[in-house]
Amino acid sequence: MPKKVLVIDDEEDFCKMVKLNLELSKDFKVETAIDGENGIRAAKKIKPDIIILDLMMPKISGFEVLETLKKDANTASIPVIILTAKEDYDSQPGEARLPRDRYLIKPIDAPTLRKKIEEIITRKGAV
Amino acid sequence: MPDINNVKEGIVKFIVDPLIVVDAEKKIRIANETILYLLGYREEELIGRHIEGIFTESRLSILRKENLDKLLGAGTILNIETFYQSKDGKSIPVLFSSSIMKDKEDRISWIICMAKDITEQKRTEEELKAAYGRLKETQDQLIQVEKFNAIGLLASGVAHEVKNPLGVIIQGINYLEARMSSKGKDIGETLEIMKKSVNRANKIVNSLLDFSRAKKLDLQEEDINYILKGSLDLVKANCRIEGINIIVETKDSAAKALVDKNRAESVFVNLLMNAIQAMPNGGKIIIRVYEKPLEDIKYGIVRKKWNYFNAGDRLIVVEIEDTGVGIPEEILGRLFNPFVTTKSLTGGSGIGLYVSRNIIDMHKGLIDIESSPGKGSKAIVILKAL
Repeated sequence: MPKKVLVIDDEEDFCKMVKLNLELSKDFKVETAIDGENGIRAAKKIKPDIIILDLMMPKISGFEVLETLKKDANTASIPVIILTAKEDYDSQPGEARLPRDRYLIKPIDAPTLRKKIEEIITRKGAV
Repeated sequence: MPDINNVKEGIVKFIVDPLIVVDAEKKIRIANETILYLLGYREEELIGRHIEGIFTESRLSILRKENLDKLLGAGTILNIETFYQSKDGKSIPVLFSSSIMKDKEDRISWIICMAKDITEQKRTEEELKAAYGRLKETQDQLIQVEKFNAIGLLASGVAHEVKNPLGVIIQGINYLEARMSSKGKDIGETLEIMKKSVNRANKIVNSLLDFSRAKKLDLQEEDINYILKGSLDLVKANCRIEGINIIVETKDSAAKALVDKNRAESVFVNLLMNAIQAMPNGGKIIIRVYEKPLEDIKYGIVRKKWNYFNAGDRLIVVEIEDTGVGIPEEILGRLFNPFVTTKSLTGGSGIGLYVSRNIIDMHKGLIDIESSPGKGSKAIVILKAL
C-alpha cells in the first residue's frame, strides 16, 4: 500500500515535480494543493501519511494551515514537513513551531526529500 | 598741536601689525614692537640685518625678481601669503604687503614691509579642513550603511523569489535523471552541469541572504586566535587537496576582542578560501596575529578610518598572506564592491569580500587587501583589542 503524501505549495510546477519524483517508486501516492484552504480540505479528506507544506502562500499562510491542522483531531497526528524558501527558522510562531529537522529549505533535491519523508513516516511522529 | 614727527614715530611704534622698513640695500632699518615680539628678536638684533633673514628659506622667492619688478612697477604688492621665520626657527604664516618710497632722483630709498600674522586663520582653516574630512568620512559611511541596508533588503527579497524556481529546476533534473536511466554520456553530463549550476545559483543566493542577515551581531569577548583556529579547521581539507602549506605565526598570549564569533569566523573562512583559490598549483598561506598600539600600525587604512580608534588604542592585526596569483590592479580598488570577483570562471559570486567588509565595519574594525600580481596577496583585518 503506497504512502499518501500531500504537497501544499502555491508553486504549481513545484507540486508537479515533487509528485513526479516521489511517484517514480510505487511507495508513494502524491496529492497536491496550491493554496492553504484546499490543502486543509484535502488533508481532512485523504488523511495523508505526511504533509509537505510551503509557508509563503497567498490567503492562508503555511503557519495558519499548520495551526488549523493541529487543532483538528482528524488531522492533528499527521506529520508535517515545512519546505520553504524562507530561511528564517526562528520566525515560526511558538504554538506552531516544528523541530529543525522538519524545517527544510528550498531548493532541495528529490533524493534528499524522499529520504526525509521516509525517515519521518517510519518514525510516525506527530505534528 | 603735537609734533607731526612724533606722531609718525608713534604710528610706526604702535601699529598693531608687524612692520619693518628696509633700505635700498634691503637691510632692515626700522622694526616695530609687533615684529620684534612676533619674531622674538631684540631691536638691535634685527636692525641692520638683511631682510632675507626673516623669511623661511622656501619663501625667499618673495624677494625674487618678479615680485620685485612688480613692486618697482606698481610701487606696491599686496597680501602675498608667505612665511616669516622667527629667531628660534619657527615658521609664521603671514599676509605680506610692501610699498616703496623713492627719492627725488626716482631711486628706491625705502621699502616698507607690512605683514599680518595669519597663524590663527591658518589653524582655523586646518581645523575646518579636518572637520570637513571627518564630515565627509561620516557621510560616506552613512551612504555605505544605507547602501548595505537597501541591498540587504533587496537581496533577501530576491533570494526568496529565486529559491522557489531553483527548487523546481533541481526536482526536474532529478526526475529526468531517474527517467533516463539508459541515458547517453552527453545527457548525463548535461544534467550534471545543470545540477552544478543550480547549486552555484543557490550558493550566490545564500551569500546574499548571509549578507542581509549580517545586521545583527552577538558581541562577546573572544580570543581571535581561537576563532582563527576554528576557521582553519574548516578549510584544512581544501589546503591538503590543493597542496598548500599553512604557517601560523601567533603569540602564545590570547588576542581578546569583542566580536561575534560566527560572523568573525565566516570572514576568516572567506579570506582563507580566497587565498586557497588564488593558489591552484599549491603554495603557502602565512597567518600572523599580533597586537600593537594604533600608532605603531604600519597600514595606511588605520589613518584613513581614524574615527574608529582613539590614540593609544591597542589593536589586534590579523594578516592572511598567500603566494598566489595576486589581484590585477584594476580590480584591487573595487574588490570590496558587490559582485566584483577574480573568480567568475570558477563560480565566485563577488559577494564574499563585500559581506566580510560589512561584518568588519559593524565591529568598527578595518579590512583591507594588498596584492602584487604574480606574487600574492595579503588580507589584513584590524580590530580593537580588549
